[in-house]
Amino acid sequence: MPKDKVIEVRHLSKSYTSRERPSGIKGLFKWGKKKKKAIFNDFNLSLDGQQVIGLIGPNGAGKTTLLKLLSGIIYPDQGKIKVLGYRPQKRQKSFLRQLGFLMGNKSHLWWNLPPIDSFQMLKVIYQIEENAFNDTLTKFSRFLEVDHLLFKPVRQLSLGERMRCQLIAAFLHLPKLVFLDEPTLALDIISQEKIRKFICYYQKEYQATIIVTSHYLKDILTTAQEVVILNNGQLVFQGNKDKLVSLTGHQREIKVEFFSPTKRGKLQEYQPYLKKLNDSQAMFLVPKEKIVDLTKFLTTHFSITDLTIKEMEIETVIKEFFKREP
Amino acid sequence: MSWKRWWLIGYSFFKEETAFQLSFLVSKLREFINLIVIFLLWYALLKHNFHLKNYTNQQTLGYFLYSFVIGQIILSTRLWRIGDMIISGNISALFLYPIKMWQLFLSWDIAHKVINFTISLFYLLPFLFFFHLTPFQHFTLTTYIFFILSLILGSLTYSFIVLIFNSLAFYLTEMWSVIFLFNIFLSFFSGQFFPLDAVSSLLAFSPFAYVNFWPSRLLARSELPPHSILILAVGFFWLLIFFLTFTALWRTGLKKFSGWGE
Ligand SMILES: Nc1ncnc2c1ncn2[C@@H]1O[C@H](COP(=O)(O)OP(=O)(O)OP(=O)(O)O)[C@@H](O)[C@H]1O
Ligand SMILES: [Mg+2]
Repeated sequence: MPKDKVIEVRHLSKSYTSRERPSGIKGLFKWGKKKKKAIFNDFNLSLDGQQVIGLIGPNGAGKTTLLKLLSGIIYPDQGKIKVLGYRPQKRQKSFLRQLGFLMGNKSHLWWNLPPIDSFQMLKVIYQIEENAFNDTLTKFSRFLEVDHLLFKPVRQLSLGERMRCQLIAAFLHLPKLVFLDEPTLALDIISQEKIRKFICYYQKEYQATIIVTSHYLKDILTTAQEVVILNNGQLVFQGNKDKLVSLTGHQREIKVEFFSPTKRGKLQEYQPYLKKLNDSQAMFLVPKEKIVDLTKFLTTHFSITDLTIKEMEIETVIKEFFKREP
Repeated sequence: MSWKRWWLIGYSFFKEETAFQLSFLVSKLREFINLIVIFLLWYALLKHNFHLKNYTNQQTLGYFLYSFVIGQIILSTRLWRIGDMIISGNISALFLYPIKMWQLFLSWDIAHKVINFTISLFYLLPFLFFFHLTPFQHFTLTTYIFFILSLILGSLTYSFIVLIFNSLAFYLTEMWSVIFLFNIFLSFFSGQFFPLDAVSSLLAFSPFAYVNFWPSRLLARSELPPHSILILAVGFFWLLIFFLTFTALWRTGLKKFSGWGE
């Protein structure tokens, strides 16, 4: 018998129907038109291995929808989903016990009670043994530096502190497969760093598969070994992180604001790197080794009011992929 | 599932509900005052030669007191939150727990009922004492059985009515106005305002009668109603209808459910 893949999605279709209704009293008497929006259409995906997998894509790409489908919270219209060898929509106990799910912008903790009370409840629901529970809780809360906050009501915690407590809640039953939907959303650099470290630590220590979504390439590149890029419900790229890096090159985005409107022709040999130009603003995508040359060229030949060098944004990466494979 | 697990789950949900201890106490105090007002009102009416058909004065007073306590068992439920959880999408978190949904709901509700009932005993005792009311006076084994069955029947019937309304949240977003009206309707037809058989015996066979009237009547009059088997049979028939309606609504609802809108 062949071993089950961690995640196997075949011919998945999913659309949301929503009604557009006027707000207030008017909305009570009007049904509004039904609107159907297809998110996935004949989507296929197969993921395997005990590793951190980065799921990236711009807003509305369908990342959250995919995770909701994979965890069985919502039903697909068509197609087959298998996760850890189970059909998630059946919600079998043995499946759910191996699954952890954190939605970055939703609180899984009781708002008015300290985190410890929520953890205690999870202990009962997941039937975690007393000793294992205490060990795990101590370990995780030390690692995430929230051990002094366990007895403070959740509503009094800062966003970053709360997120770290939520992370504990998602991992407390030592799941084999964990979905983290934007765990670093709206957090400062230090909190982000702590969370990333924890993700890597957990993956190694417990041999788990962790799927992390994000908008930021950098976020993913530091934690994930494998990367999946999603755009408009379509798989744009799937593969090793190094492959992504080599495909997109070690490129950087350079944004320039000229003092006065500039023409393409004036940019000489740097024209091929120019991705956008409107009046006095330009955006280049250049290999790392050209950065110095280009900035020198720009500063000597033009008068410049602003210049920024950034890592590639996800939107740029996606555009590049579409150009490569027409 | 072990009894301990049931209790711990129920208890931890209860802890969340009473996180604001003061407001919990105040709401209990309000109930107590409500009870006194209703009771004194009826006391005054009876003093002025107003009598209910089929009920002696003592039985009338008893009826309202017991109806209140029965309400603390049957009508106290946490299930009203489910609708809001569906609309906000927060119910997704419960879908991820490795526990059957009905077990979760049932353990919430049992804990909730046990605690509410225990507290209501404290108000019950002074009333029993001052008005010389004696429940369970001529109870035989059959009366006890009927009483317990009618309590279970009432609790389940009411739970499924509540669940039906809450699963409407899968389909509608404006349901609270309907629910508000229904609750007024229910307090009327379940016999919280008057004993149903003092007005019409037809009312006593409506599905809502099981939610409060039958067990209260039994305590007030200390005797089995005529056709008690038929009464129970009709009750279970209604319960079955509610149960089937609910499962149909819930199953289709789950398929339509879109979770947290992100
Ligand atoms: N509950 C819902 N009802 C209707 N449409 C929805 C619902 N949830 C999401 N959508 C739509 O589905 C599309 C994909 O949403 P999804 O939340 O999966 O995107 P995402 O990749 O997670 O985006 P983001 O990065 O912003 O979180 C969006 O266009 C969104 O408007
Ligand atoms: Mg999302």
